Amino acid sequence: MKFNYRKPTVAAAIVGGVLVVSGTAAFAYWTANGSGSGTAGTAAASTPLTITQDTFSGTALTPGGAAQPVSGTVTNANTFNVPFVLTAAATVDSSHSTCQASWYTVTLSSPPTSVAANNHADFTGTVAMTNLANTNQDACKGATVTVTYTATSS
Amino acid sequence: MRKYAIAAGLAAVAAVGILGGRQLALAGSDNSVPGHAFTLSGSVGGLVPGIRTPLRLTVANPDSQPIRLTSATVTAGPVGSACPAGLLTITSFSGTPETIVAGRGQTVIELTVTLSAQAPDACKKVSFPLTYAGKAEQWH
Repeated sequence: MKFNYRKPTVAAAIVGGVLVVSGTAAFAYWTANGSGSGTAGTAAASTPLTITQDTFSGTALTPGGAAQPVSGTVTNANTFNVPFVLTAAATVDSSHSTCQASWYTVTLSSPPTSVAANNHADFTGTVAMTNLANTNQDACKGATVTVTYTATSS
Repeated sequence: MRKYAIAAGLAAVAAVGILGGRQLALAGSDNSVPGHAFTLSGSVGGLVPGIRTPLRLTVANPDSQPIRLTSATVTAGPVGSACPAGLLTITSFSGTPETIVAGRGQTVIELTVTLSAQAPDACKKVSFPLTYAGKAEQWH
């Protein structure tokens, strides 16, 4: 009778021990949250790009004559990179008013599309005068052709 | 003889139970310790339309245990109806690269802020308020 009385006690103790041991398998770790604040300030204004053409070293333009090279530099004085689209157009001095600017063509060769902070980007191209058949272009003799470059933000 | 054997078995089981109970109590104690809140700080200036600008945030851990940063987000507030916060695009941190902050130490993470290329003149020389939130876990 005594033997039968103790048997269930041992079984219960073992079960209790197993449960306790398995409980320690839980891994302890914690998480933490962070917070804070700050500001994002914008610039008052940006500094415009500066475009300078190198001294023209070509020969005088004539109707249908050889295209003459032009070159120059786009300078960025800002502290950030500036992307842009560079274009060029010709104008004729006012004393040669019947000489049309559209008779001149300025072509840029793979112009730069951005300039790094506090840096510059160079460009090259050509300017030429178109020969128009049956059109007297004498009005352009001695004219001064000015090439105007424009960098538009992209 | 059989009585002693059974008694010894009971004593062994009881000892295991007591030790197991103590380990569990320690584990429970660890679990009950909350992680100390860490801080995020930093600002950025000179934003111009269309240009990505680095936003460097300092993560400071006031606790003695190292932590691994798992996320960091930034919410921008408006500066006026003509210059809404939606004009700012700010990246977030999602745990990579792995960033461990030593106990009572600090480290810097880098996000980027971009002011929309369509930002109006009303956004010149203004300051957007930024609110930072982050999560971390204990690191062994």
